[in-house]
Amino acid sequence: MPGTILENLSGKKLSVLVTILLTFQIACFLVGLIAPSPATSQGILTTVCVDRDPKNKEINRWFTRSCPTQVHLSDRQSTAGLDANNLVFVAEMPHYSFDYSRWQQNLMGILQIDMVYQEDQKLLDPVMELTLDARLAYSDKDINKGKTPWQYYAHSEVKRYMECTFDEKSAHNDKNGYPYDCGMVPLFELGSLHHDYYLLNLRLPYNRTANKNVGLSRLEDVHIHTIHMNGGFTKVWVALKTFFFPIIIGIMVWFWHRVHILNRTPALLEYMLMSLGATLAFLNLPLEYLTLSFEMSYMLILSDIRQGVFYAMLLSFWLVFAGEHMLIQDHGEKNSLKLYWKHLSTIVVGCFCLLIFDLCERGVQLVNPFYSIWVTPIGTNLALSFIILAGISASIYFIFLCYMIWKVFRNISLKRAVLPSMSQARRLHYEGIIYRFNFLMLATVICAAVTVISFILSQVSEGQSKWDENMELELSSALHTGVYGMWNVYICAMLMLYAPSHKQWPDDPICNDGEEVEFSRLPTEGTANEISSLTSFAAKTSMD
Amino acid sequence: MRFYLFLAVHAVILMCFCLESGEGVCENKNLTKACKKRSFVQLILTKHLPTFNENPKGICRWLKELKHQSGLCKRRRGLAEIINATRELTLNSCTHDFQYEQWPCLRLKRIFKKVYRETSFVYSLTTSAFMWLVARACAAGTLEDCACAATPGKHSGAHAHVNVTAGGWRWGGCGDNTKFARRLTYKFFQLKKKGDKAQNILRYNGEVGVKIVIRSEQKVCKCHGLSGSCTYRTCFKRLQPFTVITEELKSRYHSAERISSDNDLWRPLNEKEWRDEEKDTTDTLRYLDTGPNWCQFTVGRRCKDTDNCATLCCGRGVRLGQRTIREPCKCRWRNDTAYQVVCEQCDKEETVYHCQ
Repeated sequence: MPGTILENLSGKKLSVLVTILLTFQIACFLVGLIAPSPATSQGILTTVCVDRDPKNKEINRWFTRSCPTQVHLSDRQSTAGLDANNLVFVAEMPHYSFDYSRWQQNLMGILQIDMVYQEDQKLLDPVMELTLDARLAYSDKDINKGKTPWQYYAHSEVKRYMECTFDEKSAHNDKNGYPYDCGMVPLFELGSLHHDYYLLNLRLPYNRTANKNVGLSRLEDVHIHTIHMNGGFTKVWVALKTFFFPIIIGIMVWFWHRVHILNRTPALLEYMLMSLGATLAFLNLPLEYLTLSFEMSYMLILSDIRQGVFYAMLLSFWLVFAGEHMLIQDHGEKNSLKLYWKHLSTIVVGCFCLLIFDLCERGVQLVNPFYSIWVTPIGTNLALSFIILAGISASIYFIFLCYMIWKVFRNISLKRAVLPSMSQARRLHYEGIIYRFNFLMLATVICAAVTVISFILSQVSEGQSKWDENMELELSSALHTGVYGMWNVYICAMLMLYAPSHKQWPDDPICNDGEEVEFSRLPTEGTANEISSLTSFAAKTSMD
Repeated sequence: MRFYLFLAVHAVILMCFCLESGEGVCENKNLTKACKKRSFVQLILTKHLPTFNENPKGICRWLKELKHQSGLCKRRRGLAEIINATRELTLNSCTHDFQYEQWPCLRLKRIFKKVYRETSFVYSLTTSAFMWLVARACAAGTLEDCACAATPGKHSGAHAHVNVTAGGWRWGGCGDNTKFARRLTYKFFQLKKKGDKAQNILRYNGEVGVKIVIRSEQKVCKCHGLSGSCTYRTCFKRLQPFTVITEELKSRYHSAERISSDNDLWRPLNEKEWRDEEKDTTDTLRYLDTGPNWCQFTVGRRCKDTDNCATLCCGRGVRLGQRTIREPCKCRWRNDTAYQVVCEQCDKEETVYHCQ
């Protein structure tokens, strides 16, 4: 009768295994300390260029920072006689003499518009609509270390909402020229940073009849804040993936081999473990290497899907895991996923909602990087309803899960009461199983808690600018790599500990020495379709 | 014996003459007995500045009596323009904000004789203006390699001169403009240097200016991660228009505290204390000498309303007048003026207050 390795492993071996896994875990955290913060931002003050021919619709007309006529908006003289449609706000990305590296993965642009109050003007509406005519061009380094000519990348006229408030109290007695406090406006998101240089030409077209940009006040400055991943972080991250990918594949092969040696069809939990391993392997697959040579603008959506599939599988695994240890096996036939359809449908619905939301936002961004689902009321409602639906299914899922876990623990404590009446060997055996089951439950709870805590910490550590400016530590990267490593280690441990026992195969490479005293198997119980003696124990005691 | 005394007196006079040449008269007997070198702030606000339209570097030569600043100015591309702009921004925002105050931000030569409340104010205002302009120039990309001067993590350095290589940029991106601006401001104004009491107190006020710029910045955070959730969160600083900083400093001007010259309450802060104090939001401007009575200069000045006139005219009474002025009205944002607001001109009856 096969049990799982977890039950048959002696305390000493278990502690050795746990030590090894913990070492990996700590190594993952320490590796993160080498890395810089996951992403950095760069603020760019746009240059204001004059377009003498705004009617010209030629798309490949680019204004760069060295455009012939530049104006300063704060200087009234320099804008005299100019039309709002004449002005082009130019930002060359990145700043200075640098160029983007493909390791920097993706680019996000956020718009900051500084407006000031003008004497005698009516105060602006708190929420105003902006119409932005935005064009992106790219350029690469050529052989002579120069730049290739700017090439069209994307163009769109988009709407955005901007919130502006005016603090009348702090403006004291002189309101003229006092700034509005306007919010940031997300402008674009590039899924791949394939080219070396990008150029943004932004216009705020004015049209009274079409109601475009009619509610603005006096503009002082337009800033673009760009956010990109850090090359160093990506390198460390990809290195971690490259390291874990073969390991997880190896463990899966070993696991499946163990299952197939048995003369039975694999149990549900074994299928679940294999699929969990597979989704982790898919998540670990270092596809990022491909972005170094190909333009893969769908990389963001792909990594969203990869993570989503992994989380969905992890949640389903927990559910099935708890269900399979419910200790009430009232029917002898093989368990199947059908038993869990109610519980699993919450995950399916939740993930499906998030997928649709993701496809609506990032899918469209593949075509138009300036697209945002949040600008139209319909889009906002749609996005919100999907997110709320996902949230509801997540809560139902957690209620299900907590209920099941509570039931498992109640059953265990009930069965514990029966334990003293058993023989010494059997009692020790079952106590060991229950202990190890609890141990793994504890591990899951710890992992989940650590994830939540590190999430909170990484949010807080962003406020680290008030710390010593020469601080060398970058905590948020270490937290990310630590958590990522933790789930890898967790799933590796699950695959190893829940693999069928080596008992009948003494030449197993993992636990090949039989010198430790192991609890003798009880010959009387169990059927071939039960994978763990805990469940068989449950079946037996429930008959009592 | 008498001969030596004679020689010594001559030597002192000669020395003084050398130091003084081209620097005006030093009247600050209260602070230092020797003739005092003019500070950058004093120079930039009081000395006549020719226009350097074609050659912005001209200002570096104009600053030649200040070895430290003119050296920096020559070495770093883009700094000359900032120095020019600092002067303009300081004077404009000062005169604009103080037009209805007893001291209308004029007679700047006079206020540099001692450390008055006004001296402290213009000192911190100039420092703020400089720092603000540096941060802005960094964002505009007009100052030499600034944002990348200090990348957080591996490539950071304590000096304003450390440049991040292309490799550093690829590894960890660029640093924070504000930190760089603060460091350059400290370096440029030598805020860490210890001098006599007057210099120390002016530098302290400079530090107050730096802190106000830092505090005026808004931190904005952006989430980006799985489906746009907050797995990754990146924050950046948002520079506020300079008006906000001037307003803040103006209120500090009114609440400035006097440090009596014989009671040395103030001592230079060390690094740690500075950091502690940075969190403290109530740092005040400090000055040494009670300033001249500006009341004597407010005769005939225009004041805004009854409240303002009461303080501005020092109780001498107000002369009321009616006049018709053409004022901008019906302002609206219009197409044909490039993001400016366009107003019509209307006639408006207005009461004008003047001090007697």
